[in-house]
Amino acid sequence: MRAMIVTSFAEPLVIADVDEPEVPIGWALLDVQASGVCFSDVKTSRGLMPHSADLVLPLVPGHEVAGFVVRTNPPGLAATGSLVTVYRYRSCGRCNSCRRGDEPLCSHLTWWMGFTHPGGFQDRVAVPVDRLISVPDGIDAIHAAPLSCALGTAYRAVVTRGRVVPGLRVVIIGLGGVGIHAAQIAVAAGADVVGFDIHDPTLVLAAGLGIDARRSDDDDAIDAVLDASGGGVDVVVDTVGHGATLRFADRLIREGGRIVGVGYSPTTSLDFATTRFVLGELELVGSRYAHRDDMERVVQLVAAGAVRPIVGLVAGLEQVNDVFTALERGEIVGRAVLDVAGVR
Amino acid sequence: MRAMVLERPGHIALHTVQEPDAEADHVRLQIGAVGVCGTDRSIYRGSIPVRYPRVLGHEIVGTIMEQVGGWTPGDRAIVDPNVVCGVCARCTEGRENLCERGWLLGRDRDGGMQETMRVPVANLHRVPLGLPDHLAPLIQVLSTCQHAHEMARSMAGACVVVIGLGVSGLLHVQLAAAAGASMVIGVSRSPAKRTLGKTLGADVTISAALPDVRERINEVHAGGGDIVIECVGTAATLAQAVHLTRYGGEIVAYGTITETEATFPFYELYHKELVISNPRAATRVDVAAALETVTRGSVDLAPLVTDRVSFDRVDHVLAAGAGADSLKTVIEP
Repeated sequence: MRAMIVTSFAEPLVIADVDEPEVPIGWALLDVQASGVCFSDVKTSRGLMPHSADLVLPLVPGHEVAGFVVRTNPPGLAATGSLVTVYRYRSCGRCNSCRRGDEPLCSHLTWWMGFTHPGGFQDRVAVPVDRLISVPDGIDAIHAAPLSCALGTAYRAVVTRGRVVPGLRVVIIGLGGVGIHAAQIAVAAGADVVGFDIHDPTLVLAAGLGIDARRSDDDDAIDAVLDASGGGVDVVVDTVGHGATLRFADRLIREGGRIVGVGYSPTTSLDFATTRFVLGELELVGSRYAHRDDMERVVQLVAAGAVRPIVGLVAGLEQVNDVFTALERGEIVGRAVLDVAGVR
Repeated sequence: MRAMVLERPGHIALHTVQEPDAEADHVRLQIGAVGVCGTDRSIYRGSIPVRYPRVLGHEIVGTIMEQVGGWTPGDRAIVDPNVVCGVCARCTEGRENLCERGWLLGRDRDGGMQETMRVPVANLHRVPLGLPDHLAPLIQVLSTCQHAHEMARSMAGACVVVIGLGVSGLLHVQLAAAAGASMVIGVSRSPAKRTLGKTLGADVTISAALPDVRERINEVHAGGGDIVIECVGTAATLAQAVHLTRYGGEIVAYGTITETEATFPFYELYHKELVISNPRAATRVDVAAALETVTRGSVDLAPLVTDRVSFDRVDHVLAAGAGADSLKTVIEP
């Protein structure tokens, strides 16, 4: 079967013919239909993740999988043929974070699909059965793929960490794979939402979804948000995580407001005036991936039609290097998805 | 002027009374409309005790009659009936609905079932543009629903069950849908209210008369509701809420229960580790949220007022109780 593998952080991914994975007891074998491409796949493949130095190559990236259950070991643990997506962490259950119930903060992840263990950029992948999330009828594989990362991450940032409820004024910085869904989730949660981005096709798409979408370099738009909110919004979700976007958040947040960071890179640090932070009683909140209940909630929002997974580019498995380039150039609207099984 | 005076439980009559005396920080209001609430009926029956004689009514809208800071004669105003001291421990922590020295107009002091009354200027809010007098009393009900939502967990993506599709239940259905609930389930005995519930945003409605309400909810959301809002106000329906909530879920005990003894599924409450919140009245922030909700058009108030009456029908309205299919009764003096 085919797999796109990282052999060196300095080289593009290469196609390889590999054996079908073993299926340990308690695991399921999935026939991968579609795999979302996230910027963290680029970082993983280029050696830019915090854990990259410890990574053993070769590696198959890909952590947004939609696939059909082929079989389980032993049989009968999950319905064969059902469409599922995958929660990509398997936590140790013993560390302090796990004992607190903070599964994504586990210090000894035993399995991390697409980051330390084989992921979805291949025809078949083995995953623990307890990490499967079933996909409701009416969501196809191409749109199911982003559920497990782009949408789950967006839900946690907006609802669980951002505590967005009806009537709040919310700004989403960056309307990419996470941001375009974060904006929809904030609207579904009843907030007044303004999204900022610099990519015009993304702004057009966001406007089509009913989101008030503005260019980040439009000072008039920023002033309008400040005027309408009486000097600053309640919650800003920064999906980018650059110094510039944090300064942008600082400009837009009201005193006593909350800035949620959900974008990051190993080379970025926060630089924030303590006078603003302390005297303005700001909350700076980090948001990492999602808990499994965040995932369940966002899947329900999609099933109810309140949030639409946005897939702006569908490419074949073997085109993944071109998709990486497009992502690095900021050319993708919403999520890019690899049509691994050729469902389109 | 005329006022409907409750002389003792079960005895209310139209009296001619003196105009109230002027009072500092108060303004005279000509009453435009007053909503009739379950609390009014409980006071009428005597199950909520008050000092008699008492003028009932706490869902009040009217017209300002005097020049006072920020207000001009002719301005329309909604009255927040929770009068608070503003300095006690509860007030200073933003929970002025629990003020130790506060009172509720229409229960602890005279309310709106009269032609004019004096109300604290601090308790007035502007009527949203275009909202007619007979719908404006619903703002007070909505503010108490907003308070309940403020205390509850996020509803985005959640399954929310509303028990009782009266006025407040139908407001909760609309607020839950506006807050992103992925499924709203309404439970009511009344077919008419179930139909209206669907119109106003419930995905599924279930007859409360069925013996298997829990199983029906399980069919559409395995395990039960994430959040169950009890809007009937009886111990039996609060017990039912325990049955209908999933493990680790949350019950909002919105309906006011005046029973003092009842059987209750305490073990199931414990075993599911349910949280019950007991929202009471509303804060100023909740009133502002209710006005904002109406201004944004997130709730439809018009279908919720089914009866409009004058003073001469008040005795009948209070004594008869709410009809099975009727919703809000509004008195227009």
